[in-house]
Order: sequence, then C-alpha cells, then structure tokens
Amino acid sequence: MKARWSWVTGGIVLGVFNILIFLSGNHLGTTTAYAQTTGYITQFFSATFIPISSWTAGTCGTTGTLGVSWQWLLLIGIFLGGFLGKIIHGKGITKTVPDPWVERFGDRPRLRLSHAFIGGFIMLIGSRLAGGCTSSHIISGMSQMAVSGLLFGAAVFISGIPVAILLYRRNDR
Amino acid sequence: MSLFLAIIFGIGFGYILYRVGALDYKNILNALILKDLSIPKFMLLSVAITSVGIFSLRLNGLVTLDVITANPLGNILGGLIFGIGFALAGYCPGTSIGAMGEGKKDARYTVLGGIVGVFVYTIFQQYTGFSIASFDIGKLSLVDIIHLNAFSVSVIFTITLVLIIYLVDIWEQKKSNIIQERTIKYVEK
Repeated sequence: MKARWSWVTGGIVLGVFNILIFLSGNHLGTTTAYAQTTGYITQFFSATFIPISSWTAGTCGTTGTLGVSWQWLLLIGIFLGGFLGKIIHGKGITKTVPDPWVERFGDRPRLRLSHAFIGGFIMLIGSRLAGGCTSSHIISGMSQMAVSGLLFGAAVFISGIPVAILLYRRNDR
Repeated sequence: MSLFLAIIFGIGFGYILYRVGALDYKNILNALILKDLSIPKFMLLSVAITSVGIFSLRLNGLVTLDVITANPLGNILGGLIFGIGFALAGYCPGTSIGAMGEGKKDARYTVLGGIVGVFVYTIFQQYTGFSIASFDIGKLSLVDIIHLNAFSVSVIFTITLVLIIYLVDIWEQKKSNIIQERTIKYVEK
C-alpha cells in the first residue's frame, strides 16, 4: 500500500487547511464549476439556447459572470493535486476497474464505466437540487454549522449506505 | 492573487484527498458498506477542527461565513439522490476530478456524467419553470437555533462531533474483534 495518511492525520491536515481557506476569504465548493463548464460548452454552440444566468445562478455562491472563476481554478488545482500525489507516491499503473468491483462483478470495464457515468449523472442532479456537494455542503457547510449542510450530509449517507450494501450484498463479509 | 490562491488551495486539497485515500473507489465503497469508516471519520474530524477554528477567528473578525441557504426539500431530496449516485460512482464531484488527475478512467466518466447531469437538470428547469425556491428558509445555521453565542455553539458542536467519531471508532474496533474471534473459532474447528 502506498504511503497513506491515517484518517486522524488527514482530518487534522484538512481541518487546518480549510481554516486557511476561510482566512483567505474563500470557501470550498465544486458544483458551481460543473455548471460553469456545462455553461461554456452550451455557450460555445449557441448563446441563446440557455441564458447565462441559468448557469451562474449559484449553488456555492459565486459572481454573476460566466468566466474563469475561483471555483473553476480550484478544480484545476484539485486535478493537479491528484496528479502530483500519483507522481510522488503512486506506483504501478492505474486500473480501470477497482479491485472490489472485480471481486463482485468481474473485470468488466464497460460495466464499471457505465456505472461511473450514471453515478456522476445522478450525483450532479442531486447536487444542483441540493445547492451544493460534498465540499461545499459537508467540508465547508458543516464547518459553519449550516443547517443545509447538516441535512445534506445526513441524507447522502442515508441513501448511499443501503444502495452500496445492495450493490455488494453477495460479497458482504 | 485570489485566482492564484485558488490553484494553490486546489492542489493542496487534491493532494490531501489523495494522501488520505479519498480518491480511491475502494475506500469510499468500504465506508458505504460500513466495512471501514476511515473516510467519514476523516471528514468529520476535519469539520470539527475547522468549525472551532473559524468561529474563534471570527471573534476577531478575521473570517466571514458564507452559509448556503437552507432548503429542507432541496437539501434532503438532493442529498438522497446524490447518495445513490455516490454509491454507484464511488466518487463525489470533487474527488472525481482529483482521481481523474491520478489517471483513473472511471473517474473521467463520472465527471462526464456529471456534466451531462447538470445539462439535463438545467434544461428541465428552463423548460418547465421548475423551482424549489419557495421552500427556502434562509441562511440558517445552528447558531440561529441554539440561543448561545456563536463561539460557544461551535465548541459544543466540535465536542459532539469528536464524541461521535470516538463512538464510531469504538464500534468499529468491537466489530473487528468479533470477526477475529469468529475466524479463530473457525480455524480451531
């Protein structure tokens, strides 16, 4: 196993790190950037198809212009962070199908990729409805003791746990 | 400067998620099937630390909050829908980006699915006039519900979270002991 932090180390590091983000006057959040990306794409094809305001009408609180935003650059950073982690600590090739999936469903990349796609699809619909995602509602929202974040956080696990258990029921040990 | 900070914070956040294993499908799945709750414990611990930290800094006016408007219908229904997708994908919108940076192909599909999801939701909203805004109840936080000063509430909140993490940890250890005992008995037979 790669040099992995324990949950205690990770929790302390992220906790302090998030305080720094608050100190800089910013807040974590990724859903809005998804909406903005989709906005760029549709704006590219047609400027009138969907008005810009539909994309910027914020989930995680941003300005009303569709430009390269703070949140969008944060996403680029997260991408680079994962990339750096892999380069510094990772070894071996990255598998398309994760190990537990192979054990349960077999090494079937197409099945895994379609679940990943559908999962992302459902997740972002939920995010837009809820007005945020894990980073904005839980990591950032719950830290501020926001009612929205507490409700969202509880709901995610209330539905996520039974679905995962159902999906893996035969492998459950 | 602020935009430059965004990339730096993003890299830090992505790197932390990588080091703690939150970018791995396996760890998210193990959390959801209640086999290994490291990731939820990690999340709650970070929330506990941040909470007491920002509310103490706020006493000196160093931190401003940005509470997302509470909308019980949207938050709960959205959260329930999100949870289903979370269990299927094994990534959340943020970690899928980080995992994509790591070179995971399935994460790329999750991001793609997310973009299509936002697209479909927005079109639906656009053409049906669907809105849940009438369920908004304002930018509520626990401070508005518990009538104490904000800092005291955050201390109580942090202590409660740490207690929950501690109890979850004890429960997990008990569970693993039971499994070990069973295995030993099985081997003895």
